[in-house]
Amino acid sequence: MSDFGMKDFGFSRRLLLKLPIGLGLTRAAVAQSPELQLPNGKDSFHFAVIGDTGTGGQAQYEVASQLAKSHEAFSFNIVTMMGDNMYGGESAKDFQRKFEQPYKPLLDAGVKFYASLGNHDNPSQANYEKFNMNGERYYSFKPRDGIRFFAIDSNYMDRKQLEWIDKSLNDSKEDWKIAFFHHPPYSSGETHGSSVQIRTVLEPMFLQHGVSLVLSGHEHFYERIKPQKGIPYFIVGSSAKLRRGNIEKTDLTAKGFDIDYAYMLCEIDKDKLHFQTISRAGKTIDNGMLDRPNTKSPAGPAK
Amino acid sequence: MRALFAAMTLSTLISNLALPADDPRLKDFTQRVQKYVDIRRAAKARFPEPMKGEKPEQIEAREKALVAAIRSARPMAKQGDIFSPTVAPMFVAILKNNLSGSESKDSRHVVKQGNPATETETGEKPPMIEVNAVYPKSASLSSVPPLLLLQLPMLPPDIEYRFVGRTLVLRDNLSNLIIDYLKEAAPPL
Repeated sequence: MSDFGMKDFGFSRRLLLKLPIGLGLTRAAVAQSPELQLPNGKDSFHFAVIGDTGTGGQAQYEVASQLAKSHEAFSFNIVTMMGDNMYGGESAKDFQRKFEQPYKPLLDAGVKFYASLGNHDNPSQANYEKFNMNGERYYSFKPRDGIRFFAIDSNYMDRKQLEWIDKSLNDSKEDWKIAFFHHPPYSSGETHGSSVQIRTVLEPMFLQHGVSLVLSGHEHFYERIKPQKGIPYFIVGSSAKLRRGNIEKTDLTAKGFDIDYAYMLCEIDKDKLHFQTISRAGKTIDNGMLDRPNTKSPAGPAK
Repeated sequence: MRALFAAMTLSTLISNLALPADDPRLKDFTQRVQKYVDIRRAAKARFPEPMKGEKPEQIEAREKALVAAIRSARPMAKQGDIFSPTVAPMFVAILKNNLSGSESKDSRHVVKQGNPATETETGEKPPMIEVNAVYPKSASLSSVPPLLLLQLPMLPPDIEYRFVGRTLVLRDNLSNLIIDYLKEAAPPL
């Protein structure tokens, strides 16, 4: 097929996806409960991932409702947030409408949310009690032995933060080192695409210190990237915002979903990561299992 | 160039990009920023230390009080007090070097992300660029390319560079005050 033909096809597909014809169907299907496809082991570690959430709009509430339903079947204590936690104002009312109300069932159940900052977030969110950032733009936490999360502020990666990332990753003795932040180092998004500078500074450290998993948002869709230099990357940026038909055809994509809103559930069982991504309509759009990097075939050096 | 950076360890990257510490322009800029930090420290001392984990109302009240205290301590502050005529050309040159030409396309894209002049969401308003004005929380914040940040003079904690359009803004993270700015310092984005 000629280049022109491929581009022509891509344009038509995008145009079709941007038409609002599917809206009624997806809203009608909202009541469907997500069917759990994870092992749901008693001793495994469970968490959820949401991104680009802070609109206070209907889609955010609908995704939040599905997430709460998932929690009934798959008990997780932690939700990681990929940034853009608050679009527009950040008054007390905004925190209510764009965070506390939609996630009330989870907050009431004692689920802790851990936020990273996006380009629509004021850094003062670091002080907000329910984002558990402990007053820091970037931080790490260890929810259980063997697992540590690193929340990075990818909007403003100054020397101090880069040195902190390098040292914290180096000092971490946990098997699972999970980095999460707003801008995706790899992406097939038409609007933004891969954040190349972020990748330039972070990837060598990720490889050097054995980062096991990278989660991000920013692109308003879901994309599972084929492991890059041994590291799996996920984009979960459609938990309240959606860029319909925005995923371009690239070699990076293992699975993409840009026709409805989504969130992800994860389960770590020893050296395995099980994941299930669920749409606003409650449909499973991706699921699978990945071995922790460095347990089977070591990641190659940075090129 | 990027491929070269990608192969570097963090310490090599920093030593390759950072400005020489003995550059007199750097010293001048650092002293001016420090003067602001001293004013902020004195203003902060009048209020209880923020708790790690506050309610939105507490965050808002503390920021408002800090804004009032800092403004009253530097009521005559004006553009150029920190980005003085001595240092301004150095910033313009660094920005030109990092944001011009076809090889800087990625960096320009980073600067446009969250930049209130190029990317706004519903309910967001561009800030009014004035010294001592509050950068509103309803405005997004531009991302700043990490390789550019490694070349700009380092700032004390909670002071940061941001872009509004092509204007480089020096912003206080604790109060959200605009401390100074360099109008249209960046090349066309």
